[in-house]
Amino acid sequence: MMKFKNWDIQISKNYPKTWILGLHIYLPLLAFLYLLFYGLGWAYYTADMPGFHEIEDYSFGITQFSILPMFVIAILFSIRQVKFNSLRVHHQVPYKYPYRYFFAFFTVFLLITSIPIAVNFGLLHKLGGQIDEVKFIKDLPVLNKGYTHFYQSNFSSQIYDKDVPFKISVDEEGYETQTSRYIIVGTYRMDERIDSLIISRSYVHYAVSGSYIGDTSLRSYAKSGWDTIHLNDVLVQIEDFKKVAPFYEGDLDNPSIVGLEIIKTHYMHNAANGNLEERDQENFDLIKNNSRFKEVVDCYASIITKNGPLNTTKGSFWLYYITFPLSLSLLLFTICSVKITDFGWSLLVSALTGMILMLINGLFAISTNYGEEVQLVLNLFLVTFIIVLFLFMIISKKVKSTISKAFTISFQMFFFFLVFSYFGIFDALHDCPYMGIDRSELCKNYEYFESSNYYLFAYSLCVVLVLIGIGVFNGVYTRKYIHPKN
Amino acid sequence: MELFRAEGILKHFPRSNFRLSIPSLTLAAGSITGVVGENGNGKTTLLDIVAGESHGEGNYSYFSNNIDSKSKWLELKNNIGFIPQRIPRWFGTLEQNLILKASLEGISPNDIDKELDELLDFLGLQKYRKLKWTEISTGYRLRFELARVLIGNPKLLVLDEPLANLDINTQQKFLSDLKELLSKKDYPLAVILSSQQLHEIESVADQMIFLRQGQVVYSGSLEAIAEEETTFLYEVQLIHNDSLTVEAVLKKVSSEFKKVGPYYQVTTENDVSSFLSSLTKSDCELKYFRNLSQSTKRFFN
Repeated sequence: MMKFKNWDIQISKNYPKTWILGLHIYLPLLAFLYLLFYGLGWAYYTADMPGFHEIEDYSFGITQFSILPMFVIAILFSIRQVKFNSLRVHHQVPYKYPYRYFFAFFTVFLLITSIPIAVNFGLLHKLGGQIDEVKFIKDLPVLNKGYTHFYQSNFSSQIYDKDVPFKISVDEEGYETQTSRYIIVGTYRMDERIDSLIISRSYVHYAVSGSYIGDTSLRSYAKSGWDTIHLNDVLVQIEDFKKVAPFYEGDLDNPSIVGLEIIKTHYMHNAANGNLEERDQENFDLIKNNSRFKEVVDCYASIITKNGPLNTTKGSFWLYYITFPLSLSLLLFTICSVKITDFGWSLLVSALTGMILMLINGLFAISTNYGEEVQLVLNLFLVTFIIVLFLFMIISKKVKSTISKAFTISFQMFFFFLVFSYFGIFDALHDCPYMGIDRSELCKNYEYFESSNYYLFAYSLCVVLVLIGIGVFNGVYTRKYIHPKN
Repeated sequence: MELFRAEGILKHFPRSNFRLSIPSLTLAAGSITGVVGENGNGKTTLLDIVAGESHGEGNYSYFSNNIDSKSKWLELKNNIGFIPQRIPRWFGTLEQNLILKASLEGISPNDIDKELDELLDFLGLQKYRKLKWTEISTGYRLRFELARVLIGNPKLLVLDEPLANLDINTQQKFLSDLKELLSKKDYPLAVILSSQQLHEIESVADQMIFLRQGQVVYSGSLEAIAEEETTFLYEVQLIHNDSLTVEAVLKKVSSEFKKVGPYYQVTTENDVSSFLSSLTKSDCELKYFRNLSQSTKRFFN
């Protein structure tokens, strides 16, 4: 303990800013936790390729456990900054380099808040090492094509082509259409010439227009079509599947069965029924353990595409994830830039503003029959009004200094959220009156952006505004309240 | 050598309609300036403006430099040591805070211990350095705060009501420390402080400023007060069962006196010795006497 104290004092003598940030304590601690949770991810038992839900459960369990140290460290770090870093303001040491401190806070918070994600990196590296990605990508089309001939249940067959990108085209009516990635096998029969197999596959087509809300011409519709495959191709597909599937635990009930037998069985059955309509098809399953086969292929696909918890290892996840440490560092930067009592007043201002906003929204919702769209416009007006009001309170010389200061601090804290709420409102106003491509939510209809680009633009703009806001706030606050003479 | 000069200090509070107006203020190296006045008359406002904690109109010059840019002002402000009336609490050990301040001030790591030892020895704080803020009394907190401020080697020390909440012995110790500090420092240093402890402040101050409703009633040395006034002012307390008798005694000495609390303030042309001899000849017992002739207390109503 004495050795630690002496070392601690030496750090404060030689590197005071490092000491204030507590990097000499938190960096080793964080490194230890990263190794620990990464190791827990790496230690996952993978002798048999697990079902992906098992990986999800494991990741979720460790993440839950790792949230606790994350919270403790985040709180301790914040307290340390409030204790020591804010003293630089309170004790009249000029706060010269706001960005330096902001980015220091941001970096530390990024490291702290990503502790729970370390387990997923461990899992990814372990599982990624277990599978042969190149082989799987090569095998996947073979499995997709061949599976149709080995398994059919309730007239459908799962096709493993999740990574096939959407095919986007503009049809003759000017609608942008996208073909669904899921192909449903409906009918399986030989045509009259006996040299080709006709498979009815339903293609879901989806119409998206670049028009505005209220355009009743917008519609979505599905199309279906027929696939005709030459018999020789079918035989190749079957033989290829037989070779590839066992690697993914897709062993056949009868490994020696030949393609013609399979086709004949299906054809004979359908012909015997005398009715080749879709609903007369019989289910068939030639795979020994179909659910296990699907589980293994799903798991391979999920690992390669980084689905579920592994999504946290993608760059796109981190792009948006930094909002979290960004908000925390903005909050801490604000606390450390002002006196605690002033910060308390600003919290009151923020809470009251939020409460009034919600109250107006609530009253509007229960007392009027206007739809969601009108309420969104109302919120647009309210947010604009709040920004104008806050700017007035900050700039006006008629407002008491203490009140003006509280509004300045409060504005700095939720300016980010105000701007983001603008984009949220605009986003909601751009909902189409029908479901989106993935059928889970309403489609979006932006005039100038693709949906994903819109969010990226909104997000980037918010981040830039936060960075500008820090400089402006620091300048205004310093000029008005900390070093008022300059 | 002038360390601070301001012309036309002006600060207006529209809501209370209070206006602080100081035509000029000069703080010379090696001097202690006391700011006195009743509560709410602008002492803290004036000190805040001098320390750069509050904005006031006027022309200011710190250490012979005008404030013509932000960076210049920040650089100048580094040379101002300010101790507010309410000292923010320290976290961690007192020693740790002082080390941190010394380190942030750019003192070489090898010299920090030596510098701290000298400072803590001078302020009599050596045995408390390992303690925490909550483990020391108000008087020691003030002295530690003074130590912390002094680490930065400020050229101008601004102390707002430093004697409040200190017992009389601690007050005197603190003031004598200040006086000694001025004589020991090998660089120019000026001190300005406000207080309600008139006599204690006057015992060390070279210059006094008396404020009333934001205006300067008096500014100058204590000797100058006596030179300006043609009469003497004494504060006495006489013991007798009958207050009429006391007043009769005072009437014999002077026709001009008034009761202020338990005391009488007597304005007379008699010097101290003749005034005292007159009193001692009376039937009353002289319990308390103070010569206010050279004190700003004579400006209090």
